[in-house]
Amino acid sequence: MFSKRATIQNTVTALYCYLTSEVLETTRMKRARLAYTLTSGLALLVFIVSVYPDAHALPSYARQTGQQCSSCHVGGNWPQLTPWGRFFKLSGYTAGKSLFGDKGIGLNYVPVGMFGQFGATWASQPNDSQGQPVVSPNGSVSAYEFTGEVGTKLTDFLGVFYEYQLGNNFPGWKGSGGPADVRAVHFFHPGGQELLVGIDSNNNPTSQDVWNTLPSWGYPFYTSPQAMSGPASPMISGLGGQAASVGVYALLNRQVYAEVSMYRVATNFFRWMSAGTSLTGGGANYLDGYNPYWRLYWTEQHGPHVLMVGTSGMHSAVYPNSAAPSGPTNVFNDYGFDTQYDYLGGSNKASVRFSYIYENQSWNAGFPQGASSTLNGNIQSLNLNGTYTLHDRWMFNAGFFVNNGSNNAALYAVTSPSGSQLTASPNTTGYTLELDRNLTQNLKLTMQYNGFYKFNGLTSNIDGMGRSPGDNNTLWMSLFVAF
Amino acid sequence: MNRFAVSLTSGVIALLVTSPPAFAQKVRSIPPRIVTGNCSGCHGIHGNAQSPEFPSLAGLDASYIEQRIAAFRAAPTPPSDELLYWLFNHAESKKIAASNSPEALANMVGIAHALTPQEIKEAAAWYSAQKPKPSAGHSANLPPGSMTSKIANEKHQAKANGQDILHESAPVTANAMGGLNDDPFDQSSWFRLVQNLQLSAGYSGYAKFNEGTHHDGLNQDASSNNLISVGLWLNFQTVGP
Repeated sequence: MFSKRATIQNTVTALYCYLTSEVLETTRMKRARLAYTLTSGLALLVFIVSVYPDAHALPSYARQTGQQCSSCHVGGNWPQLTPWGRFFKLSGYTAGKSLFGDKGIGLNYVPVGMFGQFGATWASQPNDSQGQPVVSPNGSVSAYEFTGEVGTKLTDFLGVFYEYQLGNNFPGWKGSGGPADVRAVHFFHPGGQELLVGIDSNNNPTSQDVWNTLPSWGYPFYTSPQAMSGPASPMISGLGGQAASVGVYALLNRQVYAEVSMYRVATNFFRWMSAGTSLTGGGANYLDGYNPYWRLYWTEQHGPHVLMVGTSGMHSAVYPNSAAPSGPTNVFNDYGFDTQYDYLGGSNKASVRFSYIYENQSWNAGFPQGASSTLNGNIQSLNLNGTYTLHDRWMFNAGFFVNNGSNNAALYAVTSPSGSQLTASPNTTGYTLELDRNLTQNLKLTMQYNGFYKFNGLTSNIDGMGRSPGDNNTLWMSLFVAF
Repeated sequence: MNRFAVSLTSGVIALLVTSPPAFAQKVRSIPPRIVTGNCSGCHGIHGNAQSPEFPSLAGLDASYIEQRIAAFRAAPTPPSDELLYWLFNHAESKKIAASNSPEALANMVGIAHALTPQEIKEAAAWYSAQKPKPSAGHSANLPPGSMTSKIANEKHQAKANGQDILHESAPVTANAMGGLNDDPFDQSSWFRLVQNLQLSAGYSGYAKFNEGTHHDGLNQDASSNNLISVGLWLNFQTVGP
């Protein structure tokens, strides 16, 4: 155990070392300057917002509704949603005050918010057996992300949500349009029933969903950009920032939800949503035409118990070469099943979530070109996780995941230094443990541990140089600030 | 593409223009927009809250509902930002915390400020005209099972008379939406266990944090310890893998 004085001393020393190394190393000077600019920018914004009358600074929806984070987010722990938070989203963010003043002039509140994330990541084995870094820099305190957010009710029927993220890519920073969501809604009352109908446009399949089971808002809710992950994931989770949708949804008696959205590449009219993201760069998924996404769920609440059972899916036709989007395409069909149970009793709450996605792949374009080793393939992605919230301050999370798929040497092959192929399998299995502490509703400390049982289909020697899956385990400590 | 953009935009505009104002009729068969989009999220469309944590409003006197909302509106605006309040407006932050119940602070005071007088009237009229369901969630301000609307009204009225009704404490202090307000005397053995685990992990700064008597999330006297927790978190480097 550390004494308090030793702790403070160590902290000061660590900070001093960090700061001086930033100044001394010329290669880091730019980053330091950027960090300084961002920090002073953040400080300025904090100051402005704090003196703005009747606006107490927090992400904009809190200002719009006058409510605290915990009204919409379970225990204040974003992005988990409470029943009210889900309804707020589906009703187009239209509760509370409109952005514009009554006489059409002036603003009722500041419709922007800011997030910052700082921390450090440690890998179990940051270097391979030859001394080459796998996770770098290891254990150094860094800024991870700065996000600006605009979210507001425009009229009784129209609301918007938009984030722009500046993320640390280790090395280098990259700006990109984050989740973007525009909704127009109307309530119908046929025969004493309630039917909420909405039109939605967003830039990431499943980001419009209100549950924490599908990829966009699923567990783990945040991970270190330095953390390792398996090589295969279904296409439905690989289109964020590159696609844009137009969809329609309906919610009957707040119990049955159905949605169909059509996704296309985020060009032209939709470009603003994904500003900063290259649609034609390497690794980009350039969609051909309009691709349907569908979602159906049923939910029931009895007292503090909430249950949801749902299904979702997507058909994606993707050009093999995003730089030259023409000709035949690869086709991915995703089918998902998910369920979530929430217990919302007082300040101690619990959630259990399950999601399974099966993807059927047809490499019609990639196979003839050699980009895939097989004409057909599949991916199975399974997630089982839960959260226990204690006194709305402590969050204990645990998750188990399986990301499996058919063998494909062109996509997943790992070769040893001697040139022999070790594996062609993407199968990766592991777990994520997380402990969160809300200090105030603006400050959250997170400690997350990512562990692997199996990596690339192997349970040992995953790089031909003796590395074990457990060597890829990472510990992440972070401080999340929201204003 | 442009044709598509135009049709989308015009579609959205058409929807906005043709949407009739929901509060047109006097005798309603459908709820007013403020009820559909705001109040019903917790209190239910017909005023029978699904969750036991939220008060059911069905059948309450309209004047009582209006009076209650007026009291929420008269209360100091809740800080939607604890940290900034603590940093820049410490005195007022304490005042606000002292004058609101946790539930009111987290959920109702703020949204009451966002309502127009017309919306309050409509919502009160709607809910007073609804029939209470005995099976529905009980009022957070009343013992479960004791409430016909008449009794509920009388109780409410009595309490409202000359008293600070924002301070009515619920028999179940639970808050479904979850304010960030811990009762320092209501710490379970689990909580103590966690504190011990924390200490052994080197989070010594937190121990004091939790011992503090002012621990309601707004005027944390232990907030200075927040900085220490960051320090500790940095220090974790030495015990990390």
